[in-house]
Amino acid sequence: MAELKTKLKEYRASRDMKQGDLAELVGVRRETIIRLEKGQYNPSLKLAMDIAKVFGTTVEELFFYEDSDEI
Amino acid sequence: MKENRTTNNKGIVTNEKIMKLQKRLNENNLTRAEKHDLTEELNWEKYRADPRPSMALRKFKFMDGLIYLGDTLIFGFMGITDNTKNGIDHKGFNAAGIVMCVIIALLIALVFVYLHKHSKYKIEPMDELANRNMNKAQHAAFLCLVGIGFAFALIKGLLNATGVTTIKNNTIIDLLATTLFIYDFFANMIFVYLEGKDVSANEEEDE
Repeated sequence: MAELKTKLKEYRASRDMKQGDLAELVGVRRETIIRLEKGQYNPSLKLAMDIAKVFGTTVEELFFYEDSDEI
Repeated sequence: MKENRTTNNKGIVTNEKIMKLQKRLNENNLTRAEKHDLTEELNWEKYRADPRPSMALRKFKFMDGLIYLGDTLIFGFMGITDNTKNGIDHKGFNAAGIVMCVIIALLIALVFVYLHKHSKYKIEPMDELANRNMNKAQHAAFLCLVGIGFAFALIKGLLNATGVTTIKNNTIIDLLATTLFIYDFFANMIFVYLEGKDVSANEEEDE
């Protein structure tokens, strides 16, 4: 089964940005960013694109599927 | 953003972007989805422009839930006392009256705390995760309400299978209000639980 993974935390850390700062920039709460980073929440296309825009990258670069061995 | 901030004649914080969004929101040619998106954007713009300290949505919903619990207790108590065989006077100076006074006093105190917090802090607007959790919570609250209804009917039926249940006219409104408030209480508390599940709201920021 494919799992949605994200590089959000790495991108955020590379820009020395706090979860709250990113949350405010894209118009969501910090809890939402925490869940996104933990892979506990799949964002809407709009939110994924807004986040990608903040980091100047693409949605595919930030969010990707990874095959897991568990069935 | 801050340099553009100003207050309108009602003392409400606003800025150019907020005014533009409000103007756009008043246009008639918007679809429902566009109105929803614009309202969300406007709420976040107002939140960003507001200089007050922030309060987590989860805490706010918890207080909301407590107020609904207080309302449930008041209307539930009134309904039960009014609907007993000879009616218990909850307006006089007796045990029922004292209990009623205590519940009302607690609720008034809670409303004061709620209003104080509401004016002191800006509340986080709903985002897509909050909307999803609230939908889940409302669904679960509805199921809880149906479950309680069935359990109540079952117990009543088992205890008094041949009896007749009557509801006095003046308690119908109490029953309806109790049902609505208990639904809102469940919805808010389940939302608080869902928001706190797996993720701690106080999780530390990365160093």
